[in-house]
Amino acid sequence: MSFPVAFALGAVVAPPDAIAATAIARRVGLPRRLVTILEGESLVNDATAITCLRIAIAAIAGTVTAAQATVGFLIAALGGVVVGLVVALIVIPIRVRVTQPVFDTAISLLVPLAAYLPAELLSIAGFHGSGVIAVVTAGLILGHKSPVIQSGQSRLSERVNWATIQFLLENTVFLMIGLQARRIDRGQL
Amino acid sequence: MLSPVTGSIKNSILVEERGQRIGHGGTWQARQIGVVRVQPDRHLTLPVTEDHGSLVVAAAASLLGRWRRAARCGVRSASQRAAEYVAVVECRGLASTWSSRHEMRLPPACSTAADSRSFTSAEVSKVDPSGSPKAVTDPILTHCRDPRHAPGWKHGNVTVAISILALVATVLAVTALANRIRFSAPLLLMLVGIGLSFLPRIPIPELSSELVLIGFLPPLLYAAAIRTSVIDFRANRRSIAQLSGAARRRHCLGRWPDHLAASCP
Repeated sequence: MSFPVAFALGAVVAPPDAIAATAIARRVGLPRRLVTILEGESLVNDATAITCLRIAIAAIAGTVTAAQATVGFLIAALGGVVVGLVVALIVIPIRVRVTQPVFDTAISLLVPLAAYLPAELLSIAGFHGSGVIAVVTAGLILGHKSPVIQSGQSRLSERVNWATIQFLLENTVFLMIGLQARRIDRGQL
Repeated sequence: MLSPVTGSIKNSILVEERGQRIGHGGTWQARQIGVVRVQPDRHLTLPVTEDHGSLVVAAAASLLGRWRRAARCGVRSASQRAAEYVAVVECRGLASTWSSRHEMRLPPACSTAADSRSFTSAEVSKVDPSGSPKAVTDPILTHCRDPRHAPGWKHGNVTVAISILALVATVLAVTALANRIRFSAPLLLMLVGIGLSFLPRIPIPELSSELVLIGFLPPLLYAAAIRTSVIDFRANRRSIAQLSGAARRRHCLGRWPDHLAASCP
């Protein structure tokens, strides 16, 4: 196994699942600080792992040197943070003016893709920004600012809606992973 | 299930190798017809969807040939059996010779009328990705273009709706069961999924990387991010950064062995 392939494998197995970690943490009663670190880490490691994986794949194709890979990682991370920041700065004044919970929640549905797509389209020296880092950045800022920019009703509504979306998507992914078994078994992946 | 095949094909194909776009030809009227991936073992893979015909394989082969500066590249034979579509692509390049065999399943609507028949290379070579866009008559596609046979016509959208309904209903039922028997819901869902996938006649939705990266990941990360306390996050940022990114970067990228880096042109 060459180094880039090993690196790609490392990036694939790097991000542990936060749900599993917190479920066990709750059962054994881990200190809150540890849980925070676990959750925070699992939030950021998806982003870094995907970025690492992409660069590793480019390196497997034989087009990237070590220096370029480092630059690529930095561009992806910084580009993602900047795009996420810009999206949050655009959304904050809009949300301050919007008071109806329905509109507010509808705006929040736009944010993930509004942060993801521009970051992925951003290209500096052939390297793309990281959409996932942009989404996490925008989400962290908006979540942090929510007591200031949203009414209580809007916050409740947004929280419930996003909890439902998260529940459905998270569990659908697990079901769909299981459903791929026959395809994997027949080598159709 | 895809939307019905309508309109003409303007030699549309995107060829990818190891994640890199290496060739692109023309446009599909409404959308990309598909992404052909070249595997390291030089086998072409394409998403097995209904409306791919010989021309996709031919266009891919031709594009590949152009990219590899191959002397000759084309579809050696393509044939249709009862419900399978088989194309053998052969490429003779300056550097390598390879061939690949594709089998794809046609939707029942399209396969009923199609008897066992072969397409001549002349039929297949009508697809010329380097030429100007022109309508191509692919026997299968012409057949499928008939609204009565088109995959996805009327029934396609209903199938998508039923699939989503079934997925969500299964998720709810299994999660509720997991809560009741105090078992890990993700694990139980995966087991149920594995069991269901081996049942016959159940259409399996494809879990493509595009779907996960654009459809699942952004909303999931956003949902997790808005619930995270920035104050706690900031207080522990050193540990979080070390565990998730900085350490990985320092250990791996920083110490990328020189001799390995040099082997990457």
